Amino acid sequence: MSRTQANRLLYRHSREVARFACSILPFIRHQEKPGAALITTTFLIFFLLPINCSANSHVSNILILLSGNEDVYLDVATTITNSTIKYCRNHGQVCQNANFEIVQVASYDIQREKDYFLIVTLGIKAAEFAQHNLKDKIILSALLPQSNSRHEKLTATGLNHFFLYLDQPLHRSLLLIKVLSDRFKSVGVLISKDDTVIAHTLSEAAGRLDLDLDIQRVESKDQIGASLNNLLDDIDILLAVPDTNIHNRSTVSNILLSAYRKRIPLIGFSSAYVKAGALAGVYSSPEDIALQVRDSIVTLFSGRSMPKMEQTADYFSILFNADVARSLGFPVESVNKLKAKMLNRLNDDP
Amino acid sequence: MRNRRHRTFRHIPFVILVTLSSSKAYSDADSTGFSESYFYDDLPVVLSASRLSQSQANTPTAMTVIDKKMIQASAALNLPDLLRLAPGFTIGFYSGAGATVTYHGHADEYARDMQVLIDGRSVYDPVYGGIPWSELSLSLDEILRIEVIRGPNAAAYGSNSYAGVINVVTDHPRDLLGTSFSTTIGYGKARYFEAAHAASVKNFDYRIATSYKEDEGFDDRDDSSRARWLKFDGDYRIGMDNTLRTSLGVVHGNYDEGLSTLLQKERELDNRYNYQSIEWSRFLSPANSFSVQFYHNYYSIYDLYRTPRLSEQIIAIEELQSLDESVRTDYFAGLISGGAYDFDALLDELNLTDSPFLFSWIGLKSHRYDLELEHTLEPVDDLRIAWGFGARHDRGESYWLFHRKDPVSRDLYRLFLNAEWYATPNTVINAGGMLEKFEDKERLFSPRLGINYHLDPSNTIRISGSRSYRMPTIYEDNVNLAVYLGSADDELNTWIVSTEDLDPQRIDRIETGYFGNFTEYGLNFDLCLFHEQYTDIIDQYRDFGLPDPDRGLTDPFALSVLDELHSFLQSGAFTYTNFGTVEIDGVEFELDYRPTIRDILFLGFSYLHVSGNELKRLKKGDYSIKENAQDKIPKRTFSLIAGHSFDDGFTMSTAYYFTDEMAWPGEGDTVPNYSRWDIKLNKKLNLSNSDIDISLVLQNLHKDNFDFYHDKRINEHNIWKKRAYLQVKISI
Repeated sequence: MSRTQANRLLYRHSREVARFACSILPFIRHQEKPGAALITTTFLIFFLLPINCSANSHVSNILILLSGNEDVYLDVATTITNSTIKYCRNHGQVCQNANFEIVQVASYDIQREKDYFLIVTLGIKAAEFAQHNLKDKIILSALLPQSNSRHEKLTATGLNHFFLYLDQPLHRSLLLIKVLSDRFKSVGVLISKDDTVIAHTLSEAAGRLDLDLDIQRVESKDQIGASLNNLLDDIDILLAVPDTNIHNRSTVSNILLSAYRKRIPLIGFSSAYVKAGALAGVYSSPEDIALQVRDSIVTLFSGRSMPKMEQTADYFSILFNADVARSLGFPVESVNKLKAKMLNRLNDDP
Repeated sequence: MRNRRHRTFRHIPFVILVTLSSSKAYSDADSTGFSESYFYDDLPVVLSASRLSQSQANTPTAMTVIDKKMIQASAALNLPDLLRLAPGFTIGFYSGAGATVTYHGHADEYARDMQVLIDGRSVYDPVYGGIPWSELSLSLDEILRIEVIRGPNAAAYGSNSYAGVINVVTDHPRDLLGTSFSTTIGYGKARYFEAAHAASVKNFDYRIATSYKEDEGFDDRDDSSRARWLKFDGDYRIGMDNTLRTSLGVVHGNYDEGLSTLLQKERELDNRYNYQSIEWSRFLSPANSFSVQFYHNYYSIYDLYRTPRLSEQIIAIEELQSLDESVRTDYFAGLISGGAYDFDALLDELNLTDSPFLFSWIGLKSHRYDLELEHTLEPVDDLRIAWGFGARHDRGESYWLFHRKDPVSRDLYRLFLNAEWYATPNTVINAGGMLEKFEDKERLFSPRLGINYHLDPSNTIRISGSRSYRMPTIYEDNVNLAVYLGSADDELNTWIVSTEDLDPQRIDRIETGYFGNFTEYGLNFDLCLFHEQYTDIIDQYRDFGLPDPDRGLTDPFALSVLDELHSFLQSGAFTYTNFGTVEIDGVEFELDYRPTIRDILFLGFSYLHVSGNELKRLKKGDYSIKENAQDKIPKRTFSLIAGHSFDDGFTMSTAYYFTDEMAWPGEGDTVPNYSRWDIKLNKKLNLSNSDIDISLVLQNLHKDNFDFYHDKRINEHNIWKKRAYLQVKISI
């Protein structure tokens, strides 16, 4: 399916990156920082200037559809374009001529029919929009949280819609705990009372890593404090897993403070959680997301089929809060070393 | 770099993008599913530099941290008993409920050399000095952590943070949600009951707790106690950045106390204590926060003692028992007057009445009002500063102690600054000072400087020096304690009187230490070598030259007979001066090993070499010195806890405490070494709606121990026998 379609589109639009170049030129004119403008200009000279800006073929048009105007979408989108073109050029692949168009979903004009080789959506809103309005295209939806109610609707559609989830596999967080210290044997987790997936996945992963998992089910939002208190006395470390019922803006402060008062370190699932006071966390940075999208684009352009319709995060980042570590009497670890240790373990036992 | 790029992109009017706006708030509105913003939106920084406490590896002084696991394993049933764990600490129970706690000894029943804080509130009694341990309204179950700073630390905690500081941190109500009941029965007809309820209502967390305790104290003494307290703690969060913490408590205790001597007969003390504390913390930014705390402590002891009438006392004199009761009073009068007076004449000539004596050794009312503002900031990377200022008003009222009806008060103003600076990635410099101005006293400056050098993440060496002062108590500065005859207007004999303007006593300590923190093995240990010098020690001595009231007599013969009568009670009077000097060189070691979450091993050891003197008496300018400091400070202390939790919720722990032979100052005696072995067996049952925790606590299994009193002359001994307690806690 996608392979045939991809090949067909690939031949039809093999040389065009003009739109991206044309799109980005105003960006250069409006750069406020001369340094950044210089870098971008250099980028264009090396990669894009040979391209005819007046050309407007759709052979390799890639639309990147953003859910909103927040920094994260922009960050991922621009990293996708930069890294894809650079990668393809360095590897002499046809995707070096891809023509990127970055549009926010709110300003996308449905009437303006275009023949895109691929539509990359960033965020749920853009994924839903593409699913409803751009059904006959190949859609690569990234920056999607895996556990969301709208996910059901999204996955129910056709075979040309691929999903790249931003959630880090839960075993990576447990692996981070493992490489942080052998001291952490008993890992506590708060999960919603009706959850089965997280508990099962974590239990399996904990078993493989020889960690004891202490799962406390939270009956209701009012019971978060009591459930946490029950847990903290019996664990070495607390693992936060994505669950808006438990970890949200109004609860994170109390969870962090309660754990800290009892000198129990916490592993977060986002960089914001770590910056707020968790000891460390494995998460998908915008760059990580972008690199996985790039890999998928390369795959599609090369005519290979995508390995899976739904993919979990391939790349990951680690953040370590040195201030919290120091206060807890925990050795300050280098993020690079931690990541290297994790990659070693993942290579040994993926 | 990434952040910088983000900011750049924010300002790009990218033609194919709609106008940019700031990021949306991290939302929890979607409870059934979440969007990618859940992972990428910022969260408020909770544990920032201004909220994080200093790690033990970076503290400039030796510190023992007693946490919940140690408390649970210790088999202690009260706070003073728990403090036996800290190396160099000496704990004495002068009665069943009356405790005194000191670091490096040299303290009587009312150890005045320790600062004790409960959630930032000093519980040191400014009037009589010491800590009213039995009035603290504190359950061991609510203690989160006790930080025992061994050595002076006035730079951070103010004067009276002299020999050491005990910083008790309690759980927030939010961390103790639910309802709990606890009951303990055991040795000495002990019947302890505690109940607590904690809940959260929106942004308000609160806890109400109450306790009743009664027991009969030591076996051979009339020192039973009945104490009850009620308290409330509230924690109100106003938005993300403001917290209002309140604490209120009221305590009432009755304690039988006394010795078999005439003037210390058994009596019942009626103690009342209440406190109110409010603290507002505002989080200005991750690197900037401040807090304002105000508290008031009230402490009163009703201890008015009325002896039998004068004639009855004379009749009871042991040396006169061979005489017929009807002639004893006349015989006594003839004895002290050279045969000139019979008893009636004695009363007439010396303006006496055959009345009881009235007096109070410690009856008082004490107030402490304290206001402090503290600002914590991180002006540049690697430098944290906490500075602030405060004011305090201490007030004491006691006709019996001060011989005046109006209160005696003392104000204090203070300014402090402490800094933690990472001079290099491996070097932490702690520097600080406290400037204090007490009313009618010279300004005091208490500095502290320490350098901690991390050889690697696990090994730290430190060197530090600090100076602290202990301000004389209001009592020591103003005491005029007398024995009265019949009524409060008739002063018969001066017992203790203040005669000079006292200076604060001073301590200087330098220490070098090693702290090993091997996280992988759950092991940390601290080794500390130190030299302490105590100077200008406020010493009590008996001055035979101090006159007693002359009762308006002018006749030399009558005055000489009055002198004889006074000698029957007490010649001269006790008073205070700055005199003693003590030097201590020592080594202290502690080890905390927790190989798994279920195991705990703690060891503490202290060895001291003490030299110093004490002023004993002064008569017509003559005084004698006793080089006896080494007798009053135990040479060695040792403590151990070991515990293990099994799979089925059963926990077994044992504790051992040792204190060398020592002579307790004040009313205390020389006691042989204290060697105590405890065992605690605990079983936790998790039922569907509640948790039940059953403990069997066995104390002092090893041998009988003498504590504080060991006087064969008056046949008074505090003897620790084998003790057993059964404790049941139910949490719902």
